[in-house]
Amino acid sequence: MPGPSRPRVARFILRRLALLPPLLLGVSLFLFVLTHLVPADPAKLIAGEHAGPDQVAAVRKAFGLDRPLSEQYAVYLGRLAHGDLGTSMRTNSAVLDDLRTYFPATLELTGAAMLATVAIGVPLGMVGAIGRGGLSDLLAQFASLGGLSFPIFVFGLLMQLIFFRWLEWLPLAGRLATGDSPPAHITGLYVVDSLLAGNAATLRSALIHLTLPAFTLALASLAPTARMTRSTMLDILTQDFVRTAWAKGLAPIRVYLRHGLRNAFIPVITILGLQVSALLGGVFIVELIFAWPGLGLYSVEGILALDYSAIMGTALLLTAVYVVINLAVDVTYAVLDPRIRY
Amino acid sequence: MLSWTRASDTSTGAGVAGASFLDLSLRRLGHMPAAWIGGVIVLVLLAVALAGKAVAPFDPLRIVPADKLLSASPAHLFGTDDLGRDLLSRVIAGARISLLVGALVLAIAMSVGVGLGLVAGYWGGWMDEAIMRTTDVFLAFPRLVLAIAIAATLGPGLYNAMVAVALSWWPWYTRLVRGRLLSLREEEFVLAVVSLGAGRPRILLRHLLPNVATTVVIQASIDFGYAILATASLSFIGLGAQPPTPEWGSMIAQARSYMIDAWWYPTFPGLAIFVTVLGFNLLGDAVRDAFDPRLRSSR
Amino acid sequence: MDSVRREGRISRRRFLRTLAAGGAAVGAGAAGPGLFWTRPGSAAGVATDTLIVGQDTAVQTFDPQIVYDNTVRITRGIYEPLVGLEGGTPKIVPKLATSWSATPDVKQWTLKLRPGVTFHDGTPLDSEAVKVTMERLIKINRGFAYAFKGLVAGVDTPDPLTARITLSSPDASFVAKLAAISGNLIVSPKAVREHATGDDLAQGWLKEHGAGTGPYVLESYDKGAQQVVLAQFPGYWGGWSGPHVKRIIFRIVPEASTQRLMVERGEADIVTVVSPDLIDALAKEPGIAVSESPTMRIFYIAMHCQREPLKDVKIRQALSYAFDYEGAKQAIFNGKLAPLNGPLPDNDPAHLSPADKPYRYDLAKAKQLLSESSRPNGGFTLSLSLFQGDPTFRKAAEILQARLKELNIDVNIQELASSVLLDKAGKPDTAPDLLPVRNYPDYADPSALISATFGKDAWGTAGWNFSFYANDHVEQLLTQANQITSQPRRIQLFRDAQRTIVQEAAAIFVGTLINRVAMRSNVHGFQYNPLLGNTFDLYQIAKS
Repeated sequence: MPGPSRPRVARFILRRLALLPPLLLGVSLFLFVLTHLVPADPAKLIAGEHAGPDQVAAVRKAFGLDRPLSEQYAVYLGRLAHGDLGTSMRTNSAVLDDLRTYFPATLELTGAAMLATVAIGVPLGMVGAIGRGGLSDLLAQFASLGGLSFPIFVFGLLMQLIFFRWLEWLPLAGRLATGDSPPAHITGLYVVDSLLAGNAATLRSALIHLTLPAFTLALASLAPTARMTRSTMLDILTQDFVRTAWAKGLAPIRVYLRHGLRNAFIPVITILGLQVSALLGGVFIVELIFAWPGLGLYSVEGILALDYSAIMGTALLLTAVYVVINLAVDVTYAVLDPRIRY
Repeated sequence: MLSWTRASDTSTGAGVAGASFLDLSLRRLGHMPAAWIGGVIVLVLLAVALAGKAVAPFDPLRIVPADKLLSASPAHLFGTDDLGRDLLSRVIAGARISLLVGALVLAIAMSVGVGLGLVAGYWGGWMDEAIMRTTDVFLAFPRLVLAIAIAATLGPGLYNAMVAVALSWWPWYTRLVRGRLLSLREEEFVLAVVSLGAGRPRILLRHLLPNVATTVVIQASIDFGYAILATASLSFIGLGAQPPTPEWGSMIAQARSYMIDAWWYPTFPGLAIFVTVLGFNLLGDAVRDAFDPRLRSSR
Repeated sequence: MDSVRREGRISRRRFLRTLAAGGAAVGAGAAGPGLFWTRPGSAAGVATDTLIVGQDTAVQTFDPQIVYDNTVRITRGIYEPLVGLEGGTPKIVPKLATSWSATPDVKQWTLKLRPGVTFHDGTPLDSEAVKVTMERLIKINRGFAYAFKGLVAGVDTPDPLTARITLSSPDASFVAKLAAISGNLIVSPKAVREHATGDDLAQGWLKEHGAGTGPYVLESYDKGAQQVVLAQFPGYWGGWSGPHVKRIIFRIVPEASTQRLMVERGEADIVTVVSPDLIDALAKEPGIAVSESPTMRIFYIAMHCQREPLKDVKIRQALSYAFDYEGAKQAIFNGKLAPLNGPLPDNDPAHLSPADKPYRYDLAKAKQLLSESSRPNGGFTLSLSLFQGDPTFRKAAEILQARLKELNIDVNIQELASSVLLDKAGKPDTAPDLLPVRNYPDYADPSALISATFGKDAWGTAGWNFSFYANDHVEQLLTQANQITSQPRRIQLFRDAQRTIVQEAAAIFVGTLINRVAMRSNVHGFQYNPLLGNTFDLYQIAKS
C-alpha cells in the first residue's frame, strides 16, 4: 500500500504537536470559566459546617478566591507555565502530587479494561464476520450490544453481588487487601511494581482486585470494538486478495487469521484508541462503585466540593493523555489511508 | 458510545440517495432478525409511553409508607419502592421520560453538530480549523466527564442534564459530517460535477447533503439508546432528574443500596434501561447494516 | 495465633501476608480470598487484636486543628482534648487536664495538667502544648476555631503543669467547648516547631502525620489502598491493661452498599453507614450487632420565614400540620426516631414537653389554617433543596411534597452538592423555601443549639439558621439566659424562647435521630457520646 511520504507524516505530527499547547490553553480557559460559573462558594465547604463569615473569608483569601476572575486565571496560567497546577482546596496539597498519587490507579484500571476489551471484543467481532447473518453473528451481536446497553452502574453492582457475595470468588473493592502493604513505588501500577519486586502474593492480590472493576469498565467498549472488528473483517474478506486466497483453496482458518485478522488489526487499534475516551468516562462510575482510589474518585469528590484546582488539573492531564492518543490514531490513519490529505 | 465511522466507510455512488436504494435497504432491513427484535422493543416502548397512565395500575407518585419495599406480588407486579410507591407504575411513567430524553438530546446535538460539520467540511480553510480546534477542546474530555462538568454548572435537573449530554455530543456529529464530506469531495462523481462547472451551493445541496444525511440518520439511530443511557448516568450521579420524577437512572441511584435486600427495586428500572437501550441499539445497528452499501455488494 | 499475637506488630503483618498467600493458594481451586483475605467461615473474621472500620469519608488531613468531618473518628484516637465527656453523658471529666477552676467572673480559667503524659514523639505534655494548640487553632482559623476566636485573649504558662486561659468576655460554658468533638485536640509543640514550613504551623506535615498523646499512633496512611492504620502507643498514659485492640485499620469505602457487604462478610468489624434501611437489613444477619444510642441530632425542615408565602405564619403552621410525622418515622427511619418537640431534643434538660408542640398530621386542620392565610386556596410552588446523597432528606422531602399536593401546594425538589447548597442556603434571597437539615449542639449547653438554629445572628451559614427566623422576644430571652448562672432559671428562659419558636412554626420538627451502628457481634466496648457527632471511643473497643 503506497503511503504518504515520511517527511509529510513527520510534518503532520509536528503540526499536531504544535497545536497541543494552544489546545491545553483552550481547555484550561473553557474549564476555568465553566467551574467558576457555578454559583457556589467552595470556601464555605472548606471552612467547615459551623464556620463564621470571617473564617470563610480567610479561606477565600488563602486560595486567592477574593480576587477578580481574570486575575485568578492569570495567576493560574502563570503557575501552570512553571508546571505548578496549584493547591487543592480539599486535600490542601499540591494538585500535581495528588495526580501523581491517583493517576497510576486509573491507568492500571483503564489499561486492564483495554486488555479485556481486546480479549473479548475482537473474537466477538470475528465470529460475527465469519458467520455473517447466521446464528453466531446474531449471538455475537447480541452479546456485544447487550453489554453496551447495560447501565454500567447496575452492572458493577451486579458483578459485586455475583462474584463477591454469592460465588465468593473475587474481592469486593479496593486495590489491595487490608494489611497488604503496596509494592515499592516504581510505576505506581501495583501489578507492574509487584512483578518488578518479585512479590507474588501482592501481585496476586493486585490482580484479583483488578478483575471485577476492569471487566465492568470494559463492558461498554466491547460493542464498538466488536462492531469495528466485524465490519473491517467483512471489508477485508471481500477484497480481491482474499478472494484469491479462497480460490487457491487455502484452509478457512488460514484465510481468516493470515489475511483477515492481520489486516483488520490496525483499524481495530484505531478504534481502541478512541475507546480510551469512553473508558476514561466510565472510570468515574466504576471507581465510585469499587472504591478504586484513582482520578475518577478524586475528581468526583473535587467536583462536589468545587475544588477548582483539582478539577482543572485532572482535566488538563486527561486532555493531554487523550490528545496524544488521538494524535497516534490520526498518524496511523494517515499512514493507512493515503486518500486523506492533511 | 458513539461508534466511530471511518470517513471511507461508506463509499457510495452518486445516485444512492434515490428511491431504489431506500427500497433495497428497507427490504434488506426486513430480512434482519435483529431489526425485528429491536423494532418490536421500540414499538412496545412507544405504546407504553403513549398509553402512560392508562396502563399504569397506580399513580407513580402515590406514597404509602406502610407498603414500603414490598416484593413483587399480584398487587404490585414489580414490587414497591422505599416509600411504598408502585414500581411498575413508576417504570411505565419513566418510559415516556426516556423517549423524550433521547429525542431531545439528539435534536440538540444534531442541530449544532451537523451545521458546524457542514461548514467545516465543505468550506475548509480557517473556518474548518477554528471549528475543528473547538471540537478538539470538547473532545479532549471523556464525554461523560464533560457532561458531568456542564451539568454541575447548569445545576441539577432533567432538562439541564439533557442539554449537558447534548453539548458533550455535538462535536461527534461535526466530526462525522466533516469526515464524510472530506471523503466525498474526493469521490469521482463529485470531482466530475466540479469539473463540469457546477456551483458550490448546488454541489452541496444536490450531491453532498443527501449522502451526509444518510450517514447522520444512521448514526442517530445508533445513538438514540446511548443518549438515554448517558442522561440516566447523570441522573445516577445526582445531576439529572430530581425527586419524585420517575426517571430510571435516578430510580436506580436511589435503589442501589437495596440491591441485596430488595432486589426488585434497582432491578426493574435497570432492566427497563437495558431493554430500551438494547432495542434502539439493535434497530440502529440493523439500519446501519441495511444502509451500508458494501454489505450489499458482498451479498 | 496466640504466639503470633505475642510477637507483636511486624510479625503479625508477616502473618497476615502468609495467611494471604495461603488463602490465595487454597482459593485457586474453589473460592479465592475475599477483600481482606478472610472468609465468613472463619468466624472471627479478622484477628481479634485488629479492628477494621469501614470509614465513609475520604481523609483530607489529619491535622487536629483542621479536621471537622468524619475523619475526627480517626484523629480522636491519635489526639486527646483537655477534658472529656463521661460515657454517653454530657458530664465533663478530666482527660489531659485533671482539674480546672475559673475566676468568679468566669473570665479566666486555670487548668492543671496530668503529669507523666508524653506525646508520640516523646515530648512530655506541658502547658506550652496547651498554649501552642490554642494559638494554632485560632491562627489557622478553621472548623471549630469559631468557638474560640475572639473569645480567648491569651494563654499563660505559669508552670509546666498549669495553663491559664484568659477570655475577653465571660463564658460559663468554656470548659464545655474544650470538650467539643474537635478543634482543641492537643498537639505536640515540638512537632509543630520542627516540621513547620514557613509560617504554616506544620500544617503540611500534620496533614499526613500524627503527634498527639492519644492511645493510638498514626502508623500509616496509604492513599493507594485507601486505608489508615493506627497502632497502639506503648507509652499511653492510660495504660494497656484490660481489653483493647492493638491495631485499628480504617478502610475508606464511601459506597454504603459496599460497606454493608464488608461487615456482613466479616471483613469489617464496624461500619459507618447511616442509612436506616441498610442497618435494619444488617440487624437481621447472623453475627451482626447493632448498637443503638440516643443522640442530640435534631432532624427538621427549615421554613424560610422571610419570604412569601412562608412569611405568613398561618401557612407555616399549615405545613406543620400537613407533615406525616408517623408515616415519615416508619418510612424513613423504620420507627427508630426519638420525638422532637421543639429546637431541643429530649435529652437536653431544657427540652419542651409534647404538650408544647400542637402539630400532628392533620390535613383538615392544615386546610383550615391555609384558608385563614394570605393564600387561602394554595396554588403556589415552594422550592426545596436537598443535600445530595442522603436518603433520609430525600424521603422526608418526598413525603412532604406528596402531602402538600393535597393542599394544592407544589414542591419543587432539587438535590444539590453541599458546596453549592451551602452557598445558596447561606443568603436569604437565594435560600430555598424549605430545607431539610440535621443539626447538633457543638457543646453541652442549650444555647448552642437554639441560637445556632433560630438565632438572629445565625442566619444562613453564619450559624445554621436556614429558616432565617428572627424574633426580638426570643433574642431577649436568649441574651438573658446567657447572662445568668442559675440553671433552673436559665432552663425556664430557654423553654419560653422555644415555645415561641414552635408556636411560630419556624421549622417542621420531624424528630431526634437515634445513633445506630452496625458491627460484628464479637466487638465489645463500643461507646457513643451524643455530643461527639459520629465518633466512638476507640480506646474502649475490644474484640473477643
